[in-house]
Amino acid sequence: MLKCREVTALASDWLDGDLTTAQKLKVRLHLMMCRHCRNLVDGLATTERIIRDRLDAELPIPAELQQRTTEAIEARLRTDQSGRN
Amino acid sequence: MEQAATDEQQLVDRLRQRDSRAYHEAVQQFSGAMLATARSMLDPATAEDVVQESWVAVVDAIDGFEGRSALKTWLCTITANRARNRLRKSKRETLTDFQAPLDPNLEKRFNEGGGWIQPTRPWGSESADELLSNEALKDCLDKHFEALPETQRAVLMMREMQQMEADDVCRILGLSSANLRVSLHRARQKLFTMIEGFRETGEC
Ligand SMILES: [Zn+2]
Repeated sequence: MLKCREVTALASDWLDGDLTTAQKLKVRLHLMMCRHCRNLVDGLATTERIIRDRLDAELPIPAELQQRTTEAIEARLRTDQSGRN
Repeated sequence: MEQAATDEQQLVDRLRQRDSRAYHEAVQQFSGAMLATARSMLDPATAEDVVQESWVAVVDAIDGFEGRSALKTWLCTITANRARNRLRKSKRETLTDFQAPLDPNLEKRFNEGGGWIQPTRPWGSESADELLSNEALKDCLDKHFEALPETQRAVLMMREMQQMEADDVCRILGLSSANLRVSLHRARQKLFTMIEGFRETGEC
């Protein structure tokens, strides 16, 4: 029987589906009997949802950065063109 | 979904043809994700430089894009590679203790026999919805994300936020796949503890 501490250490892999069949069975068995660890797994699942939904996967692009990036690309495209000709 | 895939294929074709308008569109569409990726490793000014450099590199690399991942993910992988090189140059290499599977704040909630001393209280699904729309939590989350150890922050951004391949993330950060997973778990555990505290006290 896994200890609560071990289940907690495996919880993140459990949620990702990254455990072996034997480990999955042991975790499932423990969770059936232990409400504290069920709460931990619920909390970790909520945490992942919040991370995915609320952390910024994109940041606003300053106009100045967009401008100089476009210029740098165009300069590269021009040298590329002359290289090919 | 399929329409999006077709649009992306058309955009890639135009990028391959060195169509400058296509680059302009792509810069508008994808630079935000690239900047977020670079920022997870670098200060704001250096991160912006890396985004610009990465786009120039894309002009040369686009013929090698095989479409196995989404274009955005591929662009973030290029950006992360370059960001990591900057990190090496500025000698900000960090080595964290990867051995322990539990974050110290979680570890201390167990007794020596591995049982709970201080278990977490029930997390209802309605409280998750409330938390998701809570603006103060968003600020707190951003603060704690910034405060994560460098490797954990980069792993969380690349794996969880940009869905980069585990192999790519390992190669870029120089991690074994076991260390990658431990870093990801520990980052989630830290944010779990933070959200749990916020939920109980309403404070960051
Ligand atoms: Zn338990």
